[in-house]
Amino acid sequence: MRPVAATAVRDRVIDAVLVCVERVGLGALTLDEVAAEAGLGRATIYRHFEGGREQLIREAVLRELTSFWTALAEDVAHLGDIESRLVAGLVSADRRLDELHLLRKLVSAEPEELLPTLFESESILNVQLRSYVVELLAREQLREGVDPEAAADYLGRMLVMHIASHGRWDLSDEEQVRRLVRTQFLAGILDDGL
Amino acid sequence: MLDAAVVCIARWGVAKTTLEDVAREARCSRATVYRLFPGGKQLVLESAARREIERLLEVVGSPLATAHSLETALVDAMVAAGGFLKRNAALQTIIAHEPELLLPVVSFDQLDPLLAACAAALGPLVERFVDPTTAAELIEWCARLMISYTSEPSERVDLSRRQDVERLVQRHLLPGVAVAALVPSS
Repeated sequence: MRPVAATAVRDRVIDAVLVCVERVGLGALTLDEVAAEAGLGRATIYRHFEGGREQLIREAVLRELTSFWTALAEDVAHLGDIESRLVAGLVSADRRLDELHLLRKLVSAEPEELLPTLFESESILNVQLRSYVVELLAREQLREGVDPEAAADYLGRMLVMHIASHGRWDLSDEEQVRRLVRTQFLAGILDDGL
Repeated sequence: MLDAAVVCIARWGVAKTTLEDVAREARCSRATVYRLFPGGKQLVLESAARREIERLLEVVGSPLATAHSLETALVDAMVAAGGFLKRNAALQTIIAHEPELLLPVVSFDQLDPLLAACAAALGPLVERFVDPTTAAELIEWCARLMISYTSEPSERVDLSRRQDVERLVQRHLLPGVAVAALVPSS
């Protein structure tokens, strides 16, 4: 089997899973449905995804989360400093949260199915998120004694926590988000002469 | 009854705990359990969880109320909370064996009621150090950190260790409070 063709088939199937979940929900999601949407036979799907429905959902979650974070990175790519990127990133995360159709449905319907998936996706994405933040920090003047790796771990946690639950902050209000980022995210990390 | 429920969860987890177990542990009859908790197991669990949260707020509240500086207040409160969560056998059983139960609680804004409850109960206790808006923000900030480091433990930071908490407070929280005084809140 040629690897390029295999990747294309896998991508097509995962695309189909996400389309089906948005259309029929998670409970009604079947392999037949996915096969029809992808324009492939059941047997082909099983050949590429031996784990069946569970594996499809697992890979679709990773894809959905990867797309979410990639879109955020693209939204903020034109901005220079880390403060602007974090502010714009939180505002656009708030706007894009609705795009996580599959994740929302899994959390409310089948959290036990989601959990191993989420840990797996999270550890992959966490590594990428932390290294993205370390790169941003490399362009900034840091306070004395700040370890960029530790700071990136802290910022990654804060980002995920705030995107997952807004609490008292209105993430659609850029002015509020700037206060949040300047006080809770960056005050202890950036050397801004204070 | 709620004590009994917490003991049972620590021993067997949430899924395997039955109302019979709770009744036996509390040395009363099933009928009594149902009279007190007509909603059955679900209501017992919710009531037990709510009471554990109230306990946590009490444990955290006294250092916040008595400390002489903001730094001591935050460090003592977070060390107390970290210790409480670590020693809470029911919570540790859930984290170890049934973490999926916590997932719906921590995502898509499900945490908001808990964050708001912490800010409402504990915010006023630090208003002698900072303005009310900053106080509420600060408490919510600490609560998020407690939740993050409890649900996803870190090699670097263990919030039941005083020196780790001190470092976190000095590194992030105190500079954040200093900046908050300079940045307008809306």
